[in-house]
Amino acid sequence: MKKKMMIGIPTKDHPDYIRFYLSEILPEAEKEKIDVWIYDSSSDDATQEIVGKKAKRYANLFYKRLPKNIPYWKKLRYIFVESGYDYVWLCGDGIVICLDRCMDIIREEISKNRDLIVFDNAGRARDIEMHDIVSLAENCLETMGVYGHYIIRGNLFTVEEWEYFERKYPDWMHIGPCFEKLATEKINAVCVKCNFYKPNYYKKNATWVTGGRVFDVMENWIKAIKSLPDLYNPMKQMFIDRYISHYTTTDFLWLWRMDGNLDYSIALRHIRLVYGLGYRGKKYCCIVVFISLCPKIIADLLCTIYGSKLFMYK
Amino acid sequence: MEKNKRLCGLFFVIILIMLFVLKEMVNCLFKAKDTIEAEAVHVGSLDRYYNLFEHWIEVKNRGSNAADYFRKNNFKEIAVYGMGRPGCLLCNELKDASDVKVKYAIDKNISARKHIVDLRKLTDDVIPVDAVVVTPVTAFDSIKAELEKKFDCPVISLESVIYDL
Repeated sequence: MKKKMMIGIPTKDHPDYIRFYLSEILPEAEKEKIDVWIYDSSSDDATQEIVGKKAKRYANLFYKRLPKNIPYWKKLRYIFVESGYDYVWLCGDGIVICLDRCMDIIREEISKNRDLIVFDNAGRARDIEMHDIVSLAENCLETMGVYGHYIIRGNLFTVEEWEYFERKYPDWMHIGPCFEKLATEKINAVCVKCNFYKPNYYKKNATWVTGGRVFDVMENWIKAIKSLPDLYNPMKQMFIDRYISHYTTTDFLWLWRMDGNLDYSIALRHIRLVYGLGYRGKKYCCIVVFISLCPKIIADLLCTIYGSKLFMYK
Repeated sequence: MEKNKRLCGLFFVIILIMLFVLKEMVNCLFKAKDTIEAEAVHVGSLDRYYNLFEHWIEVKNRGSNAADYFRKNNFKEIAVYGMGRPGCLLCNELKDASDVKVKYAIDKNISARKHIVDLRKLTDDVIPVDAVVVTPVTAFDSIKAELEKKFDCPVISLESVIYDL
């Protein structure tokens, strides 16, 4: 591949994830001349040691140590702004990309000078070229919310722009800036149907779930969507409703109750969000409040039987 | 009056039966929960071995094998803990390596003296080796703690070997 591409993996205290991830992707990445960067804010040196060992064998592996208290979305600056590559691929350490499955497609699409290549492994029957940002948002915004689902031009943002976006889209820096910046340009994007990843077996629970931040993240999603430029106005409510309704089905509410993401004080703190669920009827709001008061042992039982616990807590 | 008494008795018996059924149903639900969770752990363990073996095959397709890890780390004589499928595969893979030797295997449950390689029990005297490889990867932490009491050499997981290749 003539154009230089990098895979950027932000991580924190997940040495097992990184060991598995690197062992899966490095041989293929080396063959394809793709650089792999690890942005690590761990509280110990285990990840650094693993990367150091691998780096002796693979010259395309690089490591950057970051302060341990840096928020995860602040790490994205190093990938999107400071990398200096033609194309950047932000990947989470919990989803392993299978380069052998998708490199032919990536090479072909990069040769067409795409600004953005989105991977979608569900729902769509075929690849779709997109030159209109609104239609791109309509089709791909939620898909792009998951780390790893897109490759983007590496020179899209300036340092000043990024600082502005950091204030505007905390938690959602991998979505907001792309859609705000690309709205000002004529875009050359494609959404390809491609089963490009497999789960990292070592992945346990996401920190936004174990840290009791589920409702905060939902609030931030609402803020991020509302902060998008006006041309997305017709779709904003749809994005909010779809996201919130996905994580607030009764199955999930029992799970949030069981793991400490939902109690009466949290329900009160996020009352606007809970009340916003009124589009499902007021009865639904009563269910949220009822679940928030239920004993955790009952919640644990129900979320296990419903399957939501096994889905989120693999 | 007599009829009312009998009705009350019947009502009481029905309530008792309903309470008993309810209690059994709740017990049943909690048992179902335990079963689901146990199965999930089992599936998780199979998944872990599936990934390990998948990666092992990929490594072999690239022309590498487990002996490369031991060469790289200068482990010439090793012991293998656990002679289930992964342990046997590892011993067979290292059989032809000229510079890495499986000196013996350790297994709690096999009574034979030899199975691919010499077998020893954890209670037997320690014969020094350069490293011990633990093949039951899902129980690595507890086995490592046990082995470290007896062995001075590094105790490593089979996953470390395969994922480092």
